[in-house]
Amino acid sequence: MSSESAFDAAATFLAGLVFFFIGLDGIRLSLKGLASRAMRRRAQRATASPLRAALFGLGFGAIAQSATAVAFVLGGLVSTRFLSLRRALTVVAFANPGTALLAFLAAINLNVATLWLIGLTGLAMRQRRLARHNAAFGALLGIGFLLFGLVELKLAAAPLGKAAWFEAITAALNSSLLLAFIVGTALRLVIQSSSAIAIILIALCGKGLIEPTQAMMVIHGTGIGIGLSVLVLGHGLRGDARRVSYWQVILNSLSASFMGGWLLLAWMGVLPSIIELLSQTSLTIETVLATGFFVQMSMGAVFNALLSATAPRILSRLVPDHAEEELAKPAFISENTSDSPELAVELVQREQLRILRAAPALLDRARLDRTQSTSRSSAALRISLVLLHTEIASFLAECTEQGHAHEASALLVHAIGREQVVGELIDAIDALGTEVSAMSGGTSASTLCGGLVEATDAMLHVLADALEGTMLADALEDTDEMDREILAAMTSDRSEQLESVRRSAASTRFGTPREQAVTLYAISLFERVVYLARRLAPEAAV
Amino acid sequence: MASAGNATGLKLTHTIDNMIALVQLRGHLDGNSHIAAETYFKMVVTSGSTRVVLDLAQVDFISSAGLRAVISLLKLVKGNHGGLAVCASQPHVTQLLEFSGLKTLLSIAPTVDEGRAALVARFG
Repeated sequence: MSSESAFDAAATFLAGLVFFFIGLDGIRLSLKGLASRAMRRRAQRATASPLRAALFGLGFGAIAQSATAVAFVLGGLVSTRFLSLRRALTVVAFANPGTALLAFLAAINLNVATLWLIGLTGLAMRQRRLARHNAAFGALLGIGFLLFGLVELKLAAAPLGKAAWFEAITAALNSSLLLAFIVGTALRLVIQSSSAIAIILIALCGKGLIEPTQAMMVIHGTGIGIGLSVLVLGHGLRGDARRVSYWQVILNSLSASFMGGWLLLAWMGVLPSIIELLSQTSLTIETVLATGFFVQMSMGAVFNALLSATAPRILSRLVPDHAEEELAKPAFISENTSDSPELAVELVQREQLRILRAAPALLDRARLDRTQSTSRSSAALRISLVLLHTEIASFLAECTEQGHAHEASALLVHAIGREQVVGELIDAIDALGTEVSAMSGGTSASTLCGGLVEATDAMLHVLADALEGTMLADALEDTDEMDREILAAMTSDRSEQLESVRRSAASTRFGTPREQAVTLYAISLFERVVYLARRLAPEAAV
Repeated sequence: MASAGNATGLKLTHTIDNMIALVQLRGHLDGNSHIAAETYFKMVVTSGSTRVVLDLAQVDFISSAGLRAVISLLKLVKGNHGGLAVCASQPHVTQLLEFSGLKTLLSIAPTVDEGRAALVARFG
């Protein structure tokens, strides 16, 4: 093979791989765009029974084309209680064979169909009146690019195989099944798509550049790669999201070990291999390998069925419950409560109270009083609070779309305004905690800022008590007059008083320039928290 | 003179003079001691004292939990048509009380005598 044609083949191969991944990213991005609350509710309906969950998993895997992505998306759905853990485990198990369906396309000529798909979808996306379907068209265009990448990969396979360096690699692979398995694991970690690896191998095998047994063993090795990849990328996950990802690791590792072990036994002459069994039919070698890949991915569903009764227990032991994850899940709002605006707003108030009760812990790292500190991680707590806030905001937005009477709509708009304030309050409290925690203790600045933190904490508790009192009394008139008077004082405009504190912090005797800067910023944040708390007080008009 | 001391790092005593209770605290008023303080305050008010001078001169630290204990005392005395004066000679304690915004609801005085005078001026 001349160096020029090897260079051309490498370029085609690289371009094909890039098109494949651009397509994959496009599909995932478009799926994110479709991930509205309404869409998630459809997903909930689509997984209502085990059979529907299995079919949903197959379809989801076929579109998303990544077992890793499927695990993470489902983890998110479970975290927000849109899907039960048990149902999500079934979807994950069946998403795996879904991802393998693409490999069958490598065995047929898709060139013309792919070009039509790209052309027509691209034109449709340029039509303004179809703009509301852009997320769906984006996903289709992504599929088009992905398939185009596959065509290019296949084109590159033949000339690439004649290069000396490539022959050396395939010779090494052909000499050791264990090496082939390890290469499969490593490739999956780098390429992040088992389908892409399977398709490349199918193309190479179809051209006679690699032995079918070795190609199959590389494919089996990708199962361990999926597991490692999910473990690495899912390092920061918690609770149910982590459990779903662990289940993906367990299923893929079991499948890979089972299929790899079978092939090894076949190579030793103990059993017939899957390739030998399938070769007795009239299938081409490409389809045989695609089927082998599909069988491996389907083994996950088999193991899921065998272990389904014990799965929640195993996963609970591996990933114990986490308080932050519980906080992130809405406890009162659900998809069934948005029909009545009055009820919806009442339930939203209960969710907001959960946020206000938990938010003071964001200040723990900055407290002067360590006896009140909890073991909560502020980063995890902030994420949970923001997730819950996002859920509440989406819920309210969905309620307004139902065309209520003017009075009910005004109630919802007011609630949306309050929720925005809650979101801003979380940010301001977190920023105050972050700023003050970075100060070294024992200085005038740390004492002053510590006072701001303690005063903020006390005010937030009084605010939460007052809001809870309003809810219990069910009418503002019945709430304790004294509580309201105290809250009004604590959330009153303090600009004059704080201006004098600012002047004293700005004097050169106060501390270092950095201490002065942090103190001035902390005072501004405190002022903002007070202002936002004032807007959330029971009688406040947002 | 009644008193209460415990392992929470806070010692509480009180005396009554001219219908005004003087509650003196010594130590930390924080997450460990706020329940003890609230209980003590309740005992003082329910025994008939609705005008209270809270002497925090010997309190070297007050946290948000401590502040809430002071708020509970404020609610008790206000609920009984009384008043509260807080004497805080330590600057950081005074500053915390000011940050809390409670200045409009209670008198903050540098000495016990001035606190007592503030209550007499207001309630006679």
